[in-house]
Amino acid sequence: MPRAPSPALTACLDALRTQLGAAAVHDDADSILVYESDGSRLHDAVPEAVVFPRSAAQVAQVVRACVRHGVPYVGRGAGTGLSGGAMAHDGGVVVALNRMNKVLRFDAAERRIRVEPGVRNLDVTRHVAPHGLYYAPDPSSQAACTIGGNVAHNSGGPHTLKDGVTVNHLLGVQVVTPQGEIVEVGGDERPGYDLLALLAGSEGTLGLVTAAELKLLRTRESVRTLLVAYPSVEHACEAVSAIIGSGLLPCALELLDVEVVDALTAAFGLEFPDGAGALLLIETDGPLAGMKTEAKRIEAVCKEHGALSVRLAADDAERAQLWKARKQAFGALGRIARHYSTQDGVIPRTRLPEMLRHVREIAARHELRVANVFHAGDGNLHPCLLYDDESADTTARVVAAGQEILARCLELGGTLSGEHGVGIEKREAMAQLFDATALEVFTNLRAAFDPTGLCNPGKVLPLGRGCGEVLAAGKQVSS
Amino acid sequence: MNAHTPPTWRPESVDELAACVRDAAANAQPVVIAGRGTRPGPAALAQGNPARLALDGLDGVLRHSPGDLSLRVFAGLRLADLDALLAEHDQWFPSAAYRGAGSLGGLLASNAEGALQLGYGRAREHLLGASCVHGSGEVARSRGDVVKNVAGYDVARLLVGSHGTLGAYAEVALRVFPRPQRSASLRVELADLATAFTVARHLRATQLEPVFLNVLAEPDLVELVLGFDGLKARVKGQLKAARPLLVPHATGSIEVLEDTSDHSLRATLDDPVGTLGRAHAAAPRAAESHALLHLRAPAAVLADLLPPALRALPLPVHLDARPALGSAWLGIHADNSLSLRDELPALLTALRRRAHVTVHNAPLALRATPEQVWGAPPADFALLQTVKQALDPSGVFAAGRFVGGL
Repeated sequence: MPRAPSPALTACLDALRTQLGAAAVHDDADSILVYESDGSRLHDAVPEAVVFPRSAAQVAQVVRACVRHGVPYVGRGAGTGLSGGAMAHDGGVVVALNRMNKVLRFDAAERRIRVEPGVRNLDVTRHVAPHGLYYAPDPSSQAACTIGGNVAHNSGGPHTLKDGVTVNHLLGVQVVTPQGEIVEVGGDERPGYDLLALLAGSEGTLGLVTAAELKLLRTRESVRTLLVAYPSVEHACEAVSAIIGSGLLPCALELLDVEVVDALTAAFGLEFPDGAGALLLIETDGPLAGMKTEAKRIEAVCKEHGALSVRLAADDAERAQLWKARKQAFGALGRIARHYSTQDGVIPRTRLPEMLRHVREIAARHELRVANVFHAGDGNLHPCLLYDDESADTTARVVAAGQEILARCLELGGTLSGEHGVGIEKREAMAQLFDATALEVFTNLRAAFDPTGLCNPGKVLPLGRGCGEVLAAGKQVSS
Repeated sequence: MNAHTPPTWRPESVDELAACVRDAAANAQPVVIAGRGTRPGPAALAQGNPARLALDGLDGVLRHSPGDLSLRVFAGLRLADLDALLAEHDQWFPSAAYRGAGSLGGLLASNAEGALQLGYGRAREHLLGASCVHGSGEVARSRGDVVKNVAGYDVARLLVGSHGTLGAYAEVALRVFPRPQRSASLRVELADLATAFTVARHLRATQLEPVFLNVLAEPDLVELVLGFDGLKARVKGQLKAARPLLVPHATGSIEVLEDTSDHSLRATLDDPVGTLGRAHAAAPRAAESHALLHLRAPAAVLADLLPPALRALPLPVHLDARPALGSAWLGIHADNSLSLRDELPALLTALRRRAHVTVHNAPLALRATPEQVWGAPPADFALLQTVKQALDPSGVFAAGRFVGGL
């Protein structure tokens, strides 16, 4: 049921209508309903209003108005997040930054680009590709997700094994601080602290990014893509460790398990060798000189570890065909189950076979099917828990299984999230990863940046409530 | 305690380190973290009479998982020991592969620029986590030393380049790499500095992937050096592809460096502070007659700025520029301190119009204040103060020696 707007909110929105224009401020039920969820449907919360600033100056006006009237606010890009980080759980205002979508400056020679936060990830690469450049982080949602959201979550993607995640490609940002100041935050060319590292992955709790300066990479001269079939995920995992341990550094090492292989076969008629229990998609890139040798070495290591077949793409068309298996994996899962919920945990790479056994065991105990398609080179798991109905019982089982999977990741020396973030979903589990002093350091940093506590409240840091309690409050799980 | 001889503390465990910091905070005793004391680092004169916190006692390895290519060590670990440990498994940490005596914590806190930053990034890019002691004197610990981790604020990286003003690294977790199958480099002499920057720009626009690309200059000599790592076939192919790009500009032969000669070149480039300092070590009264500056600016600005600035300077200069990184190191020598004191201020003013300049060394009168050493506070200085306030509210660390008096 919609809440009655508080006098403070009304006053805040009135002020913003005056400053930004009425068209930039929405609080009608239809408009705000669009902002009730993110890419996962576990964390639904309807905001009280949505505002659409067009410039850093307007973002600063929004923040100041919210602070003046005591209204919480949360920045949001494309809403593709999976941990509830951009949801207005404490009510208040969603600051939608997706209309700030201009490329501000591009310097091909220095390989840098400055963009507004609402520019979509893929559009950065599209913009610079004619100059033989690209932007490396490539989350699965890259056609939709925005650079502002990428900075907030320190996003990765399949190709970050070699080139790193967002924090490795940030040269500077402009932020509106929780005090409403516009600040240009520098990188390592200026003396000072590594604020870019602090802001990347801070999930919008320390300020709102209003521009980002990104490092671009030169499109590599040659690429080789291999799709390798293995009898089991264990074989494939061993091959992954052997490839990386041998000094070869592919740019992507993606693993698909038998559930995904079956789903791809059923959904799209993709054909794989008989007995294939796992697929490994390997991509390597670099100068043409030595590329042939490198691809041969990778192939040899794959075969030493029991590959059933190795398919090396002969050209770009075949390469796209091989990537089809990876890129259509989630779509294929949609054909065998009505819904799935993706978890995001990381473990040391050598523990992958053991962890995958745990994942299967946990899913079975909760009477759920599970499919695994993930960044094997990074040890970054994405178990997809599959289910068909959205009853409270099923949702509870999905949530419980997800929590157990994460707990096991921590036991094996891993972490809570490799790329989806903590948001609201994992905030209570933070106390298992960090000791009290470390959490106090986080709290002090946050309080120093945001003394009023209105900037994306309730995210990242634990409140002391049980995880299950938080998640069970959600309505349904992603489909 | 004699006010003129500040104490040196040498903790031998993380708990002892934390206790030192707690004592310091309780007694309002400022502290300067010295690491292993190999490179004092740029710093303005300290306020008060700070104690010296030596971390060479925090030595040793906590965990090494060769199969996962990761390890966790104490922050005082000697870089040469790190390298030796990794070499046993045919692995390395490329951000510090040629640097011997310093500590890992010091490398990170100073954001040291190694020889191979172009190829492998800064040490910061491979930092998986850390336990740190901040101003409260408590140890902040985290788990999960894995290559991808977005849980919580990245305080381990926040301290990179903090020059000991936010706290001390106690333990550090790193991602390490298999050693490349082969390494080799090229050295070519060029007519002048402008040509060297032009050739460097052209090389960068090709498909070559050098792990370093430096313009080196000293009186009467300008050279370009570049190196490659990787599979034998790849290194060989790149050496071959680079050669025709250099030939038209070379004033002499193009030298291929392998094995020990390649290694010693890399060691030289890995430590510009030591190398450019040593270039003048024979000079009398070195402290007052030597300056070492570090410039940061885009490649095009360096190419524009440096040749005329160095021509105009009537003093001998040694230069190690890394245009692709937007970085240049200048060692300047004068026969007597007076001429350096006369010439340096104008040079600094000219350079600081277009570049960030840090003064690592200079006659004392020219490196006393934070502004002299670090330049004007940056645009985000208020946020730096916010961070300082959050992590070291009582100002235990560094005693006003960092930018803006942090």
